[in-house]
Amino acid sequence: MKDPHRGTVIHPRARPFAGDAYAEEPKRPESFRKPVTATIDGQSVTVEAGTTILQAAQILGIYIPHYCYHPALSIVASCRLCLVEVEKSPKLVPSCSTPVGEGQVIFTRSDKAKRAREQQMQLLLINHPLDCPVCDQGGHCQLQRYSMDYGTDDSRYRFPKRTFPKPNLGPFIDLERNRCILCTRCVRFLEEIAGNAELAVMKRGNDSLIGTFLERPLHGEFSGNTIDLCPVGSLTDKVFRFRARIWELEAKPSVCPHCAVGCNILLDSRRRTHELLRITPRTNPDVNGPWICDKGRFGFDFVNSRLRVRSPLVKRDGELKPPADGMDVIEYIVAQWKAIRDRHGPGALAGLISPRKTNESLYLFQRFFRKVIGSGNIDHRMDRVGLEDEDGYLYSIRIGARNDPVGEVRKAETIFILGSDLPNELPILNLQIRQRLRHGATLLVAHHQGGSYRDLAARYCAYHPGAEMDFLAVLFFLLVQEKNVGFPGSLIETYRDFNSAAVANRCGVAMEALQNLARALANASNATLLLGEEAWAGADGIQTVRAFADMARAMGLFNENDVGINLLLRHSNSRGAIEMGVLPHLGPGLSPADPKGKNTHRILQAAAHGELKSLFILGEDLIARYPDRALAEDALKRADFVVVADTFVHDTARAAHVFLPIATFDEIQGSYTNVSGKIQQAERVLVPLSGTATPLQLLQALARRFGAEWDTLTPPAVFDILRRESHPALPPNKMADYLPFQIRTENTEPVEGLCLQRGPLLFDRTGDVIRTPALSARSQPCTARLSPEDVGTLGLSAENSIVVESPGGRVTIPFIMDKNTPSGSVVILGEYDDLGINRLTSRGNSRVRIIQEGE
Amino acid sequence: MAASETRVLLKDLDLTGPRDLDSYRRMGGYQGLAKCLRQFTPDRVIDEVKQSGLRGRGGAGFPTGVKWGFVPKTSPKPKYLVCNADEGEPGTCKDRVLMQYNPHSVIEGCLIAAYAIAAHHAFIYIRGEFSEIAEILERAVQEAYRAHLAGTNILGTQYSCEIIVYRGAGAYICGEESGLLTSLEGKRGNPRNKPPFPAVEGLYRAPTVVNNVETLACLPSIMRNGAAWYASLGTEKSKGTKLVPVSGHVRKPGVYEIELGKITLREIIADLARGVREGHTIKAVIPGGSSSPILSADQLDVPFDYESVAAAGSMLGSGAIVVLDNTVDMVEFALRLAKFYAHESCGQCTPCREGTRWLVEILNAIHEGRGHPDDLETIQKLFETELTSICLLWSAVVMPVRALIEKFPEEFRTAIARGTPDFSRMGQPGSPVSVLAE
Ligand SMILES: Cc1cc2nc3c(=O)[nH]c(=O)nc-3n(C[C@H](O)[C@H](O)[C@H](O)COP(=O)(O)O)c2cc1C
Ligand code: SF4
Ligand code: SF4
Ligand code: SF4
Ligand code: FES
Repeated sequence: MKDPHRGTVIHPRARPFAGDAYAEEPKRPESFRKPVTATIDGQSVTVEAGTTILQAAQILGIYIPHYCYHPALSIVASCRLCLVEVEKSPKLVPSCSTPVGEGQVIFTRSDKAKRAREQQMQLLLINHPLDCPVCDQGGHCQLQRYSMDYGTDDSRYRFPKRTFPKPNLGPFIDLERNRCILCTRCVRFLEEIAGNAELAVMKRGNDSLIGTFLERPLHGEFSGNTIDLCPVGSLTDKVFRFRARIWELEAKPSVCPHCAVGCNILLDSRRRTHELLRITPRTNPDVNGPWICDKGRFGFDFVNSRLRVRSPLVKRDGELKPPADGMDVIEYIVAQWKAIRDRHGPGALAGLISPRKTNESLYLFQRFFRKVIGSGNIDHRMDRVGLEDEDGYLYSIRIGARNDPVGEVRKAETIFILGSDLPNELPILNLQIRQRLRHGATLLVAHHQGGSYRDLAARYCAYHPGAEMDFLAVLFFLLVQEKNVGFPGSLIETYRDFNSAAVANRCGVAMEALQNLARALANASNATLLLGEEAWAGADGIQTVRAFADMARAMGLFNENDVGINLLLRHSNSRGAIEMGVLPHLGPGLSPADPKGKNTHRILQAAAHGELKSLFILGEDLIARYPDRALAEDALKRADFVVVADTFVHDTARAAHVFLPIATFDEIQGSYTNVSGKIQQAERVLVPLSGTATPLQLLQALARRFGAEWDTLTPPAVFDILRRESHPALPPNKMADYLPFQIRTENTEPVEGLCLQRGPLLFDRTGDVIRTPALSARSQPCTARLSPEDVGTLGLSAENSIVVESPGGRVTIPFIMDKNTPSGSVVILGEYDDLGINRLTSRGNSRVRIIQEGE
Repeated sequence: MAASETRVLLKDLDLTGPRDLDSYRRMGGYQGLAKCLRQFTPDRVIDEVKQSGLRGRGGAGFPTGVKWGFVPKTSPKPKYLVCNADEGEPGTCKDRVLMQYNPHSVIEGCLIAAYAIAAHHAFIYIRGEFSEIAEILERAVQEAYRAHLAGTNILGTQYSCEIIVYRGAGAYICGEESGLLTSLEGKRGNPRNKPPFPAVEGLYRAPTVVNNVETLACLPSIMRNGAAWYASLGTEKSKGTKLVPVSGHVRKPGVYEIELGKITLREIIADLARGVREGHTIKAVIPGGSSSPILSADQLDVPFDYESVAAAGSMLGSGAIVVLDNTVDMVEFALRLAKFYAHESCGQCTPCREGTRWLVEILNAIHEGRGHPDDLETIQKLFETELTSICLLWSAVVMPVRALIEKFPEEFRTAIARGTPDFSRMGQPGSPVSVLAE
């Protein structure tokens, strides 16, 4: 239903019942390998041999109730609700598991079938607490529904109901076992799809109950999907629990803001109280299927936070305060910017915007800076330090990289991942990889530390931090030998004086392991190559991409259109930020920027040196995020005029002269481009909180005061423009031949101290997470991982925390001994805004010292 | 003339300990296997067994040779033989005798069956409580390995077969063949839907034959003496001998072996088990393990074979006879049975998980004097779900309890009446209603 004023509202009645097999369109094959024809309730149907009665009935539009059956899970046929009568069969048969037989005459609504259903319903209800008034599933419950449709009003049970103790499954999920009908969908999902069998049926017979080992909380990343799968109110959403009744909710389609997969979601909100209350998946077979991860599902309550700022703030007497009466803040900002521009030229102004904003915001942001202010100093890359404008990702576009990881993984038989701890970056892609593995695919991983795939991968090579290029150089060399393709002429120079054993040694991987990996890649059919940000964004990023592309070429993964490498991105609109041209040297569609400007690092350097006077930072806590924290702090301190627009007052905001509160993702209509380049629309669910504005409104207001005529630029209008402008204008210089790359020749000399390694962690504590109670509760404590040898040498005791110290600062955190951490390294995963780990990496530092706390 | 036993399986049984390999061989042991491996093709073995008329001794009485014939010969998957040694049904204690005193007869039977279906792995799934017997079996299997009667190139032929003794954890449901296979795979022993039957999709989804211990133990003598010899024992459709464990109110309980159809139930009880205690009378008899419908005292002249017992309205089942004398309270007995099955239900499917407990609640209430006039009708309605469960455990409780209520309705009605509140005295001290209210 499309309402021009309110967008697409999914009517509660049209909301699909989670896991209802009929929610999906039945498959109607065009032709049959082995057709079978049967009659169901008098209608004839022809299906492929092996099709179940339930599936065949679905084609005819005949509804058969079902609990335990779910199209994505294995079939157990245990609830016995789907029983149907088959002529000449003495017993009723479960239609979910029984294949249609040739010439069968099937009755789904005969007296016998109806009666059996009534009986099963009665049996399922005798021990059910019937506490619908306080059950969150109420109003959208398959037990209520089937009781109405298939039950009787006759209950003969006169004994006390069975009750079970209530476990605590952690901050996300509430398990009310008394409501459980033991369909085992949750158990099968976690075992078969998520790959961590955390829930199981414990005990037996009438005492059977769903539980975890020793009643421990759930730890997986996908547990929330069991809430959707649970046909009754046994597994419910703890975050949503008791906050609303389902019929008060308005559901609208949106896109998850938490990572670059861009899962399709439904946002449930209640306008009366201006609250976003729940997130559920929206099935999209090309992106997330019917699933989402727990971060996406439960990571929204920051939008309802009372800490959200509701009016602009202006710095007075060193503090951010609401503007004085009658002050026009936009006017004030524009006046300041104009003054700076007049005095120092447009190059004295710079803008940084988060790659999680909509394409529309990103597009207007670069347009505002370039066309209205006249400065090319813009960038979106705030979580890595890079002196160069160009990076491995941009380079990959130039050589025509396929860059469709989500689509590629779906059909891959061999998946090779280099330089990414993917489960912590792109959870649903991880889920899809796990599903491929279940179907026999092979996973090969090369990464620099004890990544999450260590146990799952058929081959896992751990190279020294930063040694991706060395590793690839040897791997390519061996691959060419394995493939027997003849050494490419264009690479002879690259490999002059190459000593594979020495380079392998330098990157810390045994020659044999490399050989095995090369062999697995050489023999792989239907391979997909994924390259993580750690590999393509490093100092050797472009070289790495070249070598990676060469590898794809040697494996035959290229054609006239593209080369089969897929670079991974992290943020929900990283790809959009690139295509919209929020880059110092490239404009929309990767056209040459006009004017050109400075990248993040150079902007901050210039500001710190007093050359750049004003910064506009939209949607990011730069100080918490930028690896060179000291530089970010200096830049903001030194700049004459800093404007920060975001949802909360954070460290960066506190350094601002003016703070502008902006709307959250649910209050913004716009599009996002996911890691595979799919542009997806998100609807506005709630109006922006009063006192806040969308980035678009903000940019329009600013532009207007500058005298630009931007009033017509509504989100759809911007979308039209950006669609036209953002098609990559660069003709990829096709990979006509193998690309030479550079292999370092020097050996890194050992340095004092331990090497600090950072990496992503799904459940860490960044700004929005800290303001989302459920995610905050789920967040893993920040720890330093150390090898057993180093723990021994340093004489650390696990009882006390340790102090990790660098010239940039110190943090005090607990440590864990981890045999997968190489000695000489300290691994601290995740962002902890409250701890400021990035102090340690200030000034490009990567060496730390460790002492026991209290020493 | 008093009826007597016919001993084939229990022939010359020595109760002092397990028969070792040497004495087993001296008594003709492993000759049947040798004959199979050296003279018969697997198909011929299946034919022999079909002709012998041997039927499964685990409960269902399905013709063994026919079952073997269902194994798809062209399947590229491995085939498995599984010996069901999970014997757990109340009253049934026959398999343990074979395994305890004549383990090699079971092992030889496994090898013959495995050869017939071209399996190279035979698993003996033994219930957890039989730990000593499992050790006996394991020792016997080692003896067989050492004598090249198991493992590679058995008896110097091309045929190889590994024998694995696998101990269950003591769940009755793991005796149900598909539950057994799930358990053998290392999972929770939940039965599976059938079809597909194990012969087509069994262990690890490969063709698998599951046979009872006694069934398999019949094979050595059939192969040694020929199908015709075996078929000459018993009746037209019930061939051979059968082990009959007799328990309950008899003076000489024990495991007896009888020729099928040549002896009546009454003779087994009176002549072999020496009848009930002095001054007591037989009230009813369970003829084939706790899940078979009960027979009343006037039905005991039925010849003991599959067809006759079925014609009397019950089933031969595992052949375990439980005798109840006039002291037995049928309500309590029904409750005891129901409790066993409720305890052993795997809980997977709705009718059995919910039904078994409901049944226990009702019978318990009746037994404790809290019955309700509608209770029997409720039970009857509950029993309509008999055939909607995944496996036969639910039927295994429905059948005997239904028969008990049908055969002894008065006992149930009286018990219920005892518990029905006398509404005329409602609210007065001591009336059941006021008791409930306190
Ligand atoms: C609830 C239940 C329990 C069973 N327990 C046993 C058992 O303990 N031993 C056994 O041999 N068969 C048992 N059976 C029968 C087996 O399912 C199967 O029919 C038998 O092992 C087949 O062997 P047979 O053909 O040699 O009789 C049981 C069946 C049911 C339904
Ligand atoms: S908790 Fe829900 S999904 Fe899991 S078994 Fe129970 S009813 Fe099914
Ligand atoms: S995988 Fe990424 S996009 Fe999908 S729900 Fe999780 S965080 Fe959101
Ligand atoms: S009938 Fe009982 S034992 Fe058999 S599968 Fe169902 S619940 Fe389990
Ligand atoms: S849906 Fe078929 S038995 Fe549960």
